[in-house]
Amino acid sequence: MRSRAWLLTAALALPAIAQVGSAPPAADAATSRIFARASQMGVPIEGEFRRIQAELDFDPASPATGSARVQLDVASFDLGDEELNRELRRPEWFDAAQHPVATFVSSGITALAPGRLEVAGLLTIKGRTLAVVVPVQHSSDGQRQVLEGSLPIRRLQFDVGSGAWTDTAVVADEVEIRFRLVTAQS
Amino acid sequence: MTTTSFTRTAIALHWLIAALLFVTFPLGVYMHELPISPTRVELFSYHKWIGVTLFLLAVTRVAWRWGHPAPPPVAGTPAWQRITAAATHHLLYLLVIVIPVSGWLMSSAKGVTTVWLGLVPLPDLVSKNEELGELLEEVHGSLNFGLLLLVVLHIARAIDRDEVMARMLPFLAGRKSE
Repeated sequence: MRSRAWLLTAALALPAIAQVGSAPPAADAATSRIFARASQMGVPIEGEFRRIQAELDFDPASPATGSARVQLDVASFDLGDEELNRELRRPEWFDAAQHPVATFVSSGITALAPGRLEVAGLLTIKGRTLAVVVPVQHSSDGQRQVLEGSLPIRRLQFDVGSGAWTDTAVVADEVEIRFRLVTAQS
Repeated sequence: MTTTSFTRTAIALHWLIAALLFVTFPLGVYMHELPISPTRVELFSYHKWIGVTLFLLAVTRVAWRWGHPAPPPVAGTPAWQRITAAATHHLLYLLVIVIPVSGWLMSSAKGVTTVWLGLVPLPDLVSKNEELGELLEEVHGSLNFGLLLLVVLHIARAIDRDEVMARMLPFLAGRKSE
């Protein structure tokens, strides 16, 4: 309910934000999605961050001048099972009480080829920040731009799954973040 | 050897299935109320891996028996016992095949793919569905309760007479209880 209300608010706010000339365009909350996938004793498990905010300033004609800022509400991570969701908010995992937001802030965008970018930036999860380079596919239909891709990370570098959960034989260290961010064409 | 006992392959399959059942049944009873923990994740995985293994062994056992009939009942067995024994054996085969399938479907309905030994993913024949998951959990539990009753009956009948037990433990064949 809350997440739906949030999305609705964001969707209604979107045109207003888009009209403000100087502010970076916000990604469309209704169609933008970010997932994280891990492996539990060989079993793929994937959840979605239901509440995300992204400000994307990207002009395909001038990729290097663009920027991206993404915020995830870690308490909104949804594995499709309320018991698991509660577990993931606990201090051993995301510690949602102490670190409610995970962020990615770009520091530089490089165009590799038409539609293919590399976005360097800082990824912060659970208060730990790492420099990452995110491969991104860019496409546009004239009205909307879509930036999508995936980023492999190691959960233990962010202390996600501490204590007994550091056992990577149970939950693999490798986690793949998949994202699809949609924004109005600037 | 005379045909008083099952073939060595059938005997090996029988005892392997029995041993795995004696591990995975109590495991299933124990694990399902555990709070979330790495141990719970491991136990669930082992339970599912053993379940899939049991399915494969049971199918092999039935296929083997197709080409290698069971030895005739011990001489002097009353007709009612022959009939109930045959019915029990067939039901046991059926349950050891159907119970893992119910667990596999339950896992899929609960949104968790079964990956045998952490290596071989089984297809999800049903998609995630909370109600179906709970229904299949009850089915899985009830079938196991039925299996428990049959296994108790099966063991009680077998230990009652050495000649019956000797069909699955040929070294007992010399010990005539008559």
